[in-house]
Amino acid sequence: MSSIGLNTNTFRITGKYLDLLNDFVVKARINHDLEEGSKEYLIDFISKLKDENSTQPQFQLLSNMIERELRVTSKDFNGYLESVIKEVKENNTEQFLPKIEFLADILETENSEALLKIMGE
Amino acid sequence: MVNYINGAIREAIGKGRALMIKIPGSRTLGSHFASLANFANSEIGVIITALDHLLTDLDYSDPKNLKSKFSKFKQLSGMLSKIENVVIAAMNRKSDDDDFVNKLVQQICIEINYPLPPPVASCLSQKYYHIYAEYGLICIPLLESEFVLHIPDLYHELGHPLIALDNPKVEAFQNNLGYFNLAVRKHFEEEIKRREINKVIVSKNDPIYIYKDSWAQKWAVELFCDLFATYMLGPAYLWSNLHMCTKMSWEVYKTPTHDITTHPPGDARMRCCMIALEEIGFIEEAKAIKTKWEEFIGIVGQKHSDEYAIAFPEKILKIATEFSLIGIKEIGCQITAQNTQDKVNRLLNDSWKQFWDDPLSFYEWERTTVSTFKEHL
Repeated sequence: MSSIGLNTNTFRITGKYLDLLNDFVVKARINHDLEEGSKEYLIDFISKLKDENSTQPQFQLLSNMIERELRVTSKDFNGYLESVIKEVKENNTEQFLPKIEFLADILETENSEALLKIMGE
Repeated sequence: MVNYINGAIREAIGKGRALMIKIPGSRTLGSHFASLANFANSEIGVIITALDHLLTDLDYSDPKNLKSKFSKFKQLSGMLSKIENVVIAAMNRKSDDDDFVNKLVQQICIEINYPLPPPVASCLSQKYYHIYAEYGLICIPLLESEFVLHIPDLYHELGHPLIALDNPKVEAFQNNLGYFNLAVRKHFEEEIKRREINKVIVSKNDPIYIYKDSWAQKWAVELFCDLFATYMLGPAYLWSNLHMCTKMSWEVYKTPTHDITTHPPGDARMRCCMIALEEIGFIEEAKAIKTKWEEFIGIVGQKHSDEYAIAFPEKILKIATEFSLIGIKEIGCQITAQNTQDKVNRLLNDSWKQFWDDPLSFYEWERTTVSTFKEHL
């Protein structure tokens, strides 16, 4: 009854999208004029996260991780993600940056925990 | 810390190159591990390139981005450690038993018309059966190649890559897991709403959220792997599951209330697999398994709570069997039947029949049977 199969999957999926978020925030922190391509890529990702009819298990997994953390901090999942999309479209870096950093922190934590469980099991 | 992280990245690049040197060459590698060696070489190459990029990238080098640089380094470093501890270790510790288990896994994959390449098998596991889907590596405990009663767990592990890998051949299976996840979410969201309407306090610490999150993140995947094993192998998988619970997990109704857990409790898994078994025509076998399962629960004195019934309602288990069966059919795997005559399928189901016919003589029977089976595989 090992959970390695689950944890390797979590490590891979969270790592893949943590990369996306990190690549976005490093640019946003130093250059407020973000390329349209990278904005679209991020918006597409956030839209998939908030798509409640998605049948892709990897996005369902990520959505649930984020929803759970937002619930802990009493934030509304849909409202939060919608505001990120709106603020990215408006180039409102001051507003969206801490929110995307928060999302990156969630994936970072899940990624690290999965790795620890893989190595420690 | 700027110099620290750059030094650490350079060292990790060196480690990656050292790992490449550790990958055995053709003469010592043997035929089964070649795909794993190729994978390790290319994956280490990708990681080294990413580390190189991280070292020189101007955006990541800005002091404002130090946390992101640390984060990316940690992740790449973790990937290298995984390859070192799992892939390189498997190749360097290969034993004579690996040859048999690799043939066994390949034969299973042929029998069930597995849509992906068969994973490489290694007898190095110190932690029961497990799989690294992205490496295509399945690990089983050292002595398992001599015994048969737990071999059915290989079928469960073969279910994981069908869910984890980005491959259009298995998308239909994943979509059916996705439909199931939607049904589970709807069920628990309605339950939460119902409680709110009835003024039953739902705080964010309510266990109902733990059930919802556990299903979404862990339980559905594990249950789909159980169902994959049941539909591919039949009764032997359930007997093997009972056998595992007697040895490892007596808390067959364990329902988490604070933290999400990885596996549904044993009873929920068994109930679900029994429904699946009946669906494919093993009615009498399902009855026999149910009888023995209940007998075991009585012996170990387990009783279920009200919360267990809320977390694992029959309706959800039934829906899981339906969606997984559709998914399996859509990816073209061969579902087992009473008249299935495939070599490994017969060995495992006959072994469990033999065990129940004469448990006390089974050990001797098993030794002879496994030995003969190995000669003819």
